Amino acid sequence: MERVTEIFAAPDLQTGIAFKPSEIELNSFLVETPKETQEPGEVVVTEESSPDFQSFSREDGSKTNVVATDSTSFILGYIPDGVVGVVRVSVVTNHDHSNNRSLQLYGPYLIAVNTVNNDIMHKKLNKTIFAKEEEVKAPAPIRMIERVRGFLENYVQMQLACNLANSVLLFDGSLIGGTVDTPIDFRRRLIASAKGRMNSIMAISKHTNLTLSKSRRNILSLLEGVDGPVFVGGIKDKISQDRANYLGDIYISRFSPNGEAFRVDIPPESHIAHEKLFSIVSSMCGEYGYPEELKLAHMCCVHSSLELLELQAAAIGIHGMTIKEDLRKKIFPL
Amino acid sequence: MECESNQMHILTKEGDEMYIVFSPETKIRYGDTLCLDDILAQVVDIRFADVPGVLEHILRKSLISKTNTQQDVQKQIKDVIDSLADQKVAVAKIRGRLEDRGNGSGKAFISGIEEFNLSRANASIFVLPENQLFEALDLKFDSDSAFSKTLSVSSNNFEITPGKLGINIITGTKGSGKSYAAKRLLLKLITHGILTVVFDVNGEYLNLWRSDTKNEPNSYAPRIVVLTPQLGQSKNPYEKPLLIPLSEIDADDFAKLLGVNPETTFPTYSELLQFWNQRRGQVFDLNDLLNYVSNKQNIPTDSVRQALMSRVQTAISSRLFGPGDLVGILRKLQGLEKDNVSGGALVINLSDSKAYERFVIVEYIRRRIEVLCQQEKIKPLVLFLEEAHMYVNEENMRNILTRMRHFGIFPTFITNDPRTLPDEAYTLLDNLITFRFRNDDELRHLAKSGMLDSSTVQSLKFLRTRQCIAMGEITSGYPIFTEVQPQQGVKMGGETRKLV
Repeated sequence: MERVTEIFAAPDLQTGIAFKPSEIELNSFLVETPKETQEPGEVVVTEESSPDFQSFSREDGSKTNVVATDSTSFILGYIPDGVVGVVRVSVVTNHDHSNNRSLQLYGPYLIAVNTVNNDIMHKKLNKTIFAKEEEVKAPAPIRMIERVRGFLENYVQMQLACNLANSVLLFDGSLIGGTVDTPIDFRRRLIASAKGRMNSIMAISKHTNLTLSKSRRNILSLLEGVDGPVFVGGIKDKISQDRANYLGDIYISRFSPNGEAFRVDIPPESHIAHEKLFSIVSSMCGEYGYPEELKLAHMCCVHSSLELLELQAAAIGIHGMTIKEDLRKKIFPL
Repeated sequence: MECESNQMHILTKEGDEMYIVFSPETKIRYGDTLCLDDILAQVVDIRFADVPGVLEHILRKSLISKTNTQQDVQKQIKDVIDSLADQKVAVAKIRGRLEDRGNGSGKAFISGIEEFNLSRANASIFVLPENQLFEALDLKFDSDSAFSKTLSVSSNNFEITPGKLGINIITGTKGSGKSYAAKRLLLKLITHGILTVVFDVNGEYLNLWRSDTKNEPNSYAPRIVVLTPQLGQSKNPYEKPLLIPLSEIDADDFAKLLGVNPETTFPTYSELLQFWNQRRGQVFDLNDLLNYVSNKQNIPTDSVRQALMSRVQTAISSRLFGPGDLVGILRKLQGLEKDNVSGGALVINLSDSKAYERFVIVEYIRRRIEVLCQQEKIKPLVLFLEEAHMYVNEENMRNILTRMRHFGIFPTFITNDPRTLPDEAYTLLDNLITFRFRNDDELRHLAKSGMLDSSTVQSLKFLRTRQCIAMGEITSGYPIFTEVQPQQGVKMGGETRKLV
């Protein structure tokens, strides 16, 4: 993935511009901007009177590589008509499912966007990562950092799907396509590439907008009062809107006996059977029933407050910016 | 290279210590003097800055080992990553301030401060170049081959000015370089025309006449004399037998050497005392003593006579006594004889002597030197006492510390363990050259001396071999962190035999 630095190279800005840094509390150890939800809004799922709960084994003797990836972004500060932010993706590999782990970090990458370079950057990333030539309107600069995070995450996921083999790929999120940040054909290519290399994808969400039709409750509530390890499937078939954009079979699962419930998306034609995949992932779940590899990937990609202060300093140095004082602080110094 | 003030910031002041935050790219070393406006503070410790969140930052990094981690970052930010976690704090002891001498003749160091009005935001902070510090301390050196170089980022030559030597201690743990420094100082003193008498218990100084590359005499060789007691065949022209003229020690010393206890064997002791008393002011030797004790008229009691004869035979076979020319050797090494070259070393080799012999030999030499200096038959000299507790008793130690300096004899104590010297040595101390110590008890003892404060003493733990802190008259009362420079052309190693 040598090209990553090149693709996400820090663009040039006019030197001497004012920079108003975001406030960073050193006591907030790990800081991130919440990710954009991939689903457009509340999506209704037809509710069944008696869902089919399936238990599965937590024991697994397979020697599969398990690879988890996660990403993060943060707005470091504000420049005239734009922002400076940072993105990072982490890839944690559990080799042969043996707790011998390695970590690859892509980033931090400094991104400076304003109304001048926003469209140019969006177009370039669309073309490079999604191979899309047509014009897609870029979001406002303030949302562009989060969009770049999405680009980077998609790029890394695709690289993993294409370059690894016989591995379980754990993604944070879902397998929805056709959203503002992930074209459906790109998602299809991702799934197909993974299958072609005998990789099995599982995407795990802590949150979802899928809502039960009668009770109006989140679908995660389906597992209330049900001890794990357990999953309930067949949810995709009951989605009322844009069902075709959901490229994976959708489950709600509790991976460990007293763990939390998560939404799980698995491509229908997975190299490893879905039930077996649940067992593999469940066997690596620690506290709260969340896969250890995904937890590590998250912890390793999120920026610490120290890193963010360093990156603010780097941004000021690289772009020759001058610090703009907070007007509020100037007026109300105490 | 002078550090920019914008790379250092005042964090706080606690007591007489300033805490200065500096970034990883700023070069600050132990012993550096920071100039904060006009206040001088010396770096005695360097720590990581206690940044909130750093523990979590590191714990997060420790989740997966460094060797299993790869990171791809933009090259522009590579240097910035981890720079905050690597921020350091220099703990700097306030020593005093700089004050204009007037008439445009530079600045002088004034100990202590009268006021404290530094601004955290605006204070100018930089590492004071050592040449400027030395100028302020009135330390001027004209030697090309320096005794040592200071440890500062702006290193400077440091010399020991012989005129500032008084009562001195060179100390440091074994292997820290103290004996090397002592030998280097000794050679410097020779160059300055000064005689040093060395009591060498470990055979450290026996090879000083040799070249470091070939087993041949070096340029110092003609000015070095080694006196070895009970010497059989001399292996080189610089080693001579040490003989004590019997008439130059007193009856008590002789009795002590031969195990004649005045309390338990009084008649024997009494006869010895009488022999000495009868010959007060005369020259006599063991033959005179043997003739005296063999004569029934002198000692009618058979048992006493037999006992004394046996002891005198022991003294003869010890080969310690005989005609010696200590005065001649001392005068020659001081240029008071024909050759007229002043400066040298008289090494008293005690490495093979028994404990009780060492005491007698050292006491004999000490007394002779004291008398000769008192009578101005020889010039002032320096005395090196390696591990003095092994051959100087309490009373003689008091003499060395309190009386001898008045006659022009300046003692330098060289020891592994500062606790072996009496408190009086520290009270009267003029100069301290201390090398590495790691033991807290020894460090506390050094701090107790009052020559160095406890924070500065703690920095001794971090010194490398041959690095030391010099303090006292030789440094104008300012602790100098310095590294003894290698001596060219002289075999500095002693006679210690290796197991393998």
